Amino acid sequence: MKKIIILIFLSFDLNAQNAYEIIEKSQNYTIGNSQKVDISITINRPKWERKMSLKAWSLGTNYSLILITAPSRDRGTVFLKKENEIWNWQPKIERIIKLPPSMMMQSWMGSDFTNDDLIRESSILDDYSHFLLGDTLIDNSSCFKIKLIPKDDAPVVWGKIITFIDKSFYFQRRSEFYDEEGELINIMKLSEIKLFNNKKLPSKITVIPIYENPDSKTTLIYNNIDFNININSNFFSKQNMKRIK
Amino acid sequence: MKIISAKNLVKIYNSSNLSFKAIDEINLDIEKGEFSAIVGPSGSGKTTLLNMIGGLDKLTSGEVIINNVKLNNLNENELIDFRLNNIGFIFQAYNLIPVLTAIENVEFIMLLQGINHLTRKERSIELLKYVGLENKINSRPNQLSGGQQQRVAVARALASKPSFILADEPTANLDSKSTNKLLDLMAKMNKEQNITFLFSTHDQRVINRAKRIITIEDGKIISDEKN
Amino acid sequence: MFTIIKIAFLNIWRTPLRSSVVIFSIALGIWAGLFVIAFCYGINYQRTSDTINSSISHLQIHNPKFKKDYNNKFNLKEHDKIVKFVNEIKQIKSFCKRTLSLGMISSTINSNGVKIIGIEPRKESLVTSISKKVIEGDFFEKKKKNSVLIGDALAKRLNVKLKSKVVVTFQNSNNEIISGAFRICGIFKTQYTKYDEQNIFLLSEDFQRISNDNSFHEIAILLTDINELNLIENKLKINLNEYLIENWKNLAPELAYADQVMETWLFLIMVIIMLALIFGIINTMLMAVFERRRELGMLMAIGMNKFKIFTLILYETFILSLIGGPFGMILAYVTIYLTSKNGINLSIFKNGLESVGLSSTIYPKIDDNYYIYITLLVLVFTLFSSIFPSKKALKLKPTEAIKTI
Ligand SMILES: Nc1ncnc2c1ncn2[C@@H]1O[C@H](COP(=O)(O)OP(=O)(O)O)[C@@H](O)[C@H]1O
Ligand SMILES: [Mg+2]
Repeated sequence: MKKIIILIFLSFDLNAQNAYEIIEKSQNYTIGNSQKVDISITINRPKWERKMSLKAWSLGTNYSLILITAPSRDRGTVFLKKENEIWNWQPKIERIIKLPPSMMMQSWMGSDFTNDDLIRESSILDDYSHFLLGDTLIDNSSCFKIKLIPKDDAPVVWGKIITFIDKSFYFQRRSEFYDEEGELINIMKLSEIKLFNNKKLPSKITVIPIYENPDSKTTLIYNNIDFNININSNFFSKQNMKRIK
Repeated sequence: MKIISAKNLVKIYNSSNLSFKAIDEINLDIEKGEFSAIVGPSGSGKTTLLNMIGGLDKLTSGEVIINNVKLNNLNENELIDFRLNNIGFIFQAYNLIPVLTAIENVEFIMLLQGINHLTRKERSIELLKYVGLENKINSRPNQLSGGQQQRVAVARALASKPSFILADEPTANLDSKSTNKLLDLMAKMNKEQNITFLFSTHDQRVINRAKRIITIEDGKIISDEKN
Repeated sequence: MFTIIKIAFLNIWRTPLRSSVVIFSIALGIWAGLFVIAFCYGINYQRTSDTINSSISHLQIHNPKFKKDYNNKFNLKEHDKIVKFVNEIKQIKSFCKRTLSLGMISSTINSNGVKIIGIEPRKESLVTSISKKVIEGDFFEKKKKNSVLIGDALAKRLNVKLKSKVVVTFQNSNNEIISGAFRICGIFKTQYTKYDEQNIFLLSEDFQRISNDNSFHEIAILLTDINELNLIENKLKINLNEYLIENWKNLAPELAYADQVMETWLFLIMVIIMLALIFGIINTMLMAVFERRRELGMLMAIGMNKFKIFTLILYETFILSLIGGPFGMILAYVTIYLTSKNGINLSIFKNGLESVGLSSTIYPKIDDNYYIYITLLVLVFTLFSSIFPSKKALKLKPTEAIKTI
């Protein structure tokens, strides 16, 4: 479950007429300075399925707060990311725990969302060289096909990423993650475009670990997104962890 | 000189539900130099009587006095020591220590008495010669015939210089040749060295050689006569 | 006395089979006791020396606050001073500086929490044996920037091979999460699967560059002679009192604990062996007494006193153990000598053993004193167990001998 949390922390900055500009434009389009989202996540494995829902608030890249709303077992659990620290509120034991750095790094192991991309505010802009490969149709929409090659020394596990960015709205429709040997490892699909606060955005993100486990997937659905909401850094406090509903 | 004096000896064996009077009011005196036999059928109480006199078993009542020592007054360890120094035993069987040679068996009793090595050796050889086993001194009991074993037992019984020798059916397991040899030996000892012998037996050959015959039946002395 | 001993000795051979069984049981008891001790001691010794050689060394120096949560802020403030001091102690064979952090290593497929150990390869190889455990690639020989050495088990988990790219992530002293791309230059394999999975090595200079921090967090020290541990430890504690000095027992309390656990188990095993032995001896000697009740009765009748009868049986038992004892000792010595040379191969259980940090070849080892301890123990117990049959012999009646069948 924790791996999902991390996903949320970073999904805010997951998503430009040369390739660089397209990417940049895409990032600016999808990420607001502050936002509140309402998300449902489904993890599918060949033998089981797990669902969870959560609400998340974020301000810039330094502050975020996540409230689990389902399943009932975890309901009320809150994670607070404040600069470089992560705090966890467990309503059952009424206690706030600071997650040690080691745990911060281990907790999302094995997710279909690769840690490497998730934990860092890994800037898709700074760590990669961008190449426009042309246009393609994805879901009947015309997209830029862009190749991202990690720069030397960039802390990125991928050999390359191919990303498809909607020409009209600059959101990602699809990304393919390859290792250094050119093997396709993960596919991320974004679909079901909806209007959130007058912005058209994909409301469903599906990640398939195609190389290791083609039968598994993780699906994330945005039930709601509010951009530029009225919160400041005081909102992201330990006291607020206990109060938030 | 009276060396054994038994007065009003009674021995009652108590088993689970019945008690059995094996010795019934026996009075008996033995003088120095006697060569006497307690005679009677099997089960008449011969062994029991010898056990009483030899201090091997407790009396039910009465008293046994040997060399003016009242055995009733001695505890178990004192009794053992008393036996060691005063009484020579010859049993029907199981007389010898199987792992020791003839000479070692004879020596053993002197060893228990604390006699020094040299004396032991000399005396053992002398005794074994006396019983006619000088060429068997290094034989183990299982290399000797029954008669030879009994003669070693006689030598062993003599070795401790006891005041008398108790022999419980010493010939019971012997053929007549061995029996005669053994009886000759004991008679010779009695005659030459004035050694007191008290046998129990129902062997006619022994009875014939005894000088005094004490006959018992059902734990009572029924006759006591010179032969 | 001597004759009684002689009789006792000769009596033993009247029933050679039964006596041999007792002698053999005593020998087996001593053998089993010594061998089990040697086996367990061998395991622990090996584990201890492996752990000392492969990772913890004899002594380590840290910032007292560092180990609480491996916060890189708590570094060795004046490591130059420490190095200078340590350099001058001649009993110290070698030492090395390390940078440390808990963090994560990721490949395209997976990621794993790890202890990130930044080392100076030349010095490290003088202190620990990790350089000898490299099974693929090499131990930072090419001096390439951003090289990482990872364990075999971890490589499998991450699905990576030599030259694969991985990303290493950890927090620096400013609590910033930092990461760097590294190439696998080598793969190591110790006997501790868990260790292989949870530790990665990289050059301390790379560590310091990406974390933007020139400090070190750990100094590991190897002594020439482990017997001087206390001396050197105290010397360091006095002179470097602002640092935390720990010896291998503090660093790996589970090893000391394993010794304790082993002792408890050995004690139990010994008790079981001894009980079996006692039971066997009592039984056999009671039988011997019963069979000889007529003869013993005769001995009492002719004047052998109770004390001598008692000692006779005692001697018989004792002689049995005097023969069995050395026999067992020699047997144990030979087995332990041979197995300690060649090792006992338990490779059938290899996976299970390695996962708990045990080598699959075990070299029994034993302190010579144990030969004496165990032998004394067995002798004491045999004597103890011979009391019962001896007492039984005392209860015999001299009239037994005279009884006609
Ligand atoms: N230990 C004993 N317990 C009970 N009865 C015994 C015991 N010893 C002997 N008796 C009995 O006492 C009687 C005399 O026995 P014993 O003196 O051995 O006779 P003998 O030697 O003349 O054959 C016998 O009837 C015998 O059964
Ligand atoms: Mg009889």
